[in-house]
Amino acid sequence: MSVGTVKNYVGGEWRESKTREVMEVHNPATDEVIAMVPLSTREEVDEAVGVAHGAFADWRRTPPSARAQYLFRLKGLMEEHFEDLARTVTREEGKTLDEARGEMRRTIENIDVAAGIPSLMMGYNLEDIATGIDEELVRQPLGVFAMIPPFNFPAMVPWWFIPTAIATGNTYIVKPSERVPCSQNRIFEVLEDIELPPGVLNLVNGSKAVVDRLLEHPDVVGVSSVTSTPVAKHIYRKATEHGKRAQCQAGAFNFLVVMPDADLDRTIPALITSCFGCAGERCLSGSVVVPVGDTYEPLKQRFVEAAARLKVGDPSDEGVQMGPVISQHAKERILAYIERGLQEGAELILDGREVKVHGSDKGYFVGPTLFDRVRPEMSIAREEIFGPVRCIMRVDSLDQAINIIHDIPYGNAASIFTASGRAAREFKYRVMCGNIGINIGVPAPVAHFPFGGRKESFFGDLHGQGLDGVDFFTEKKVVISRW
Amino acid sequence: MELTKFGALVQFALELEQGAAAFYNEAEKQAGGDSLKAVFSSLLSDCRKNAQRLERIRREDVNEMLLESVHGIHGETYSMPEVSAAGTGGLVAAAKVTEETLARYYRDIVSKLSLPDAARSFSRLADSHARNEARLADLAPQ
Repeated sequence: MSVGTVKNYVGGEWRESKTREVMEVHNPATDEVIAMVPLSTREEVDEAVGVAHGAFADWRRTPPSARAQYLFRLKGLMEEHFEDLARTVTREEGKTLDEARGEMRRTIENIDVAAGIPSLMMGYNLEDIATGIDEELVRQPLGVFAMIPPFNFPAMVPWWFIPTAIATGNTYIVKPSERVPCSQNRIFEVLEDIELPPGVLNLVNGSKAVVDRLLEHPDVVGVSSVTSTPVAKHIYRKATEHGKRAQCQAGAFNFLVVMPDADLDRTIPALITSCFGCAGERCLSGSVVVPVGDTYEPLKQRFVEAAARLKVGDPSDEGVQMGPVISQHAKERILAYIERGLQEGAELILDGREVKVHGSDKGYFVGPTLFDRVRPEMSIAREEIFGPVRCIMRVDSLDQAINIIHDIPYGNAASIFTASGRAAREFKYRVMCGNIGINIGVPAPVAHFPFGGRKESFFGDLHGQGLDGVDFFTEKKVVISRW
Repeated sequence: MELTKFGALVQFALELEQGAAAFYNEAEKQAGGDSLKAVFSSLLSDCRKNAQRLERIRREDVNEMLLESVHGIHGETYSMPEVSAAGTGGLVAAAKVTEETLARYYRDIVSKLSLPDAARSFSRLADSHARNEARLADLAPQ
């Protein structure tokens, strides 16, 4: 059966790419090819930027309250198509339906927040800064922004940025991950009905060549990205070299510290969700569980039992608790990490390499995998595996746990599980990560708050979401008046 | 079959409500007397509204931070009565079992869920079915 090639959306219309280079998009649960994606040309990027640049002048003059109305209409449509969109995410990314619904919920939440833009982008003023002289600050949009998302949240991540960008009066270009273009394609089909002015929001499919052209194009004023650390460094360096604003979220390696006083009945399910949710392909996933002191033995036993019980399978089945990883290549990379863990002397206490999934023989499945007796210098304790392979690393004290967290280059997230306010306070005060969980395994900031990140997990100043987003997508102008 | 995921719990609830709606649709046809027909019609309407509520719950009350599995809910322990129950007494008795089953299912999952908004919504559904059960008890032959 032939499959369709996704199109670009530029200037308010769907356009077939002129490129001859196309890639297959696979359903990771079945290996079935579900779409083809064009790797658009440099000229097509230039066309899109030109259209977006042309649309900016009128769009920035559209009153913020009128811009917000488009978002209200879009919210309604996204709710109407919610289940269909969630199923599209599951089909191309492989996360479970519940996880895809959670992703869609957060997508819409960002639209909700940006619909409040008439209040969010207000400036401030002061009369009589000198006698008879007043001063005011206004926020103004800047022009064309672009977004380079990852594969793991194909619907949500672009919408951390798009609603605020266009609500503040900018125009926008999204380049979906070439591995998962269908969700964004489907969202754009839905949003056609809100009838945005042509050129305000554009979609260009492609890979590195498209990214590089966006980064060097003189009419692109800023870039948001969520990628691995090496790619984020490339994007940040190139964008800033070309004088653009940049906010680049990067890789992660997150620790889950469990204190001796933690309530294991509540902690174990949270650890399982954190470590194996989205098959471990989430930048907020727990990578290493760090039991402190005596909690090691009971935690290890219960954690392994719970992980072993997880039902792995086709994520479109409502009963499945963990789906496949994104590709055969990713599976092989993850399996190679398991081999390295064994070679480095860690003890494999749950082996997901041979997981069998009935009816999905060709899917890219790796079962929950756990290593014990992991030491901080091992590669599995330092490198982002981005799959369902997790470590247990026993320590004697909270200080030792914090030192281990600080010893890795990443600073995305860390969680503590405890009944002690003192331990929790110490943890949130000292740990140098952008997102802290206290008795929460997936500390995912809601749309009203910025998505944190430090060290090698973020490059830039202003984060995505929340008021940081408003700051990123606007320039402050000060006006001093005397009449 | 154990129901361990939020989506599976909602899907099973939808199937229960749809099964109940099918039963009330048939019961309304079989019922003797306008007052009993009106009762079944009202219960049918409730089930249809509940199905819409469940779809809203599935859409709005999901939280990616709290998708923790639940344990101890088994679908086979919530079996519904057959549609073919004969006579007024039989229909009312079967309706009572239907409402009791639905109320029990919702109460059971409220105690297991880590999603507070969803738990509150299910609690309201449990109360609604418990009220219906009480209403049917008043109709049952003494």
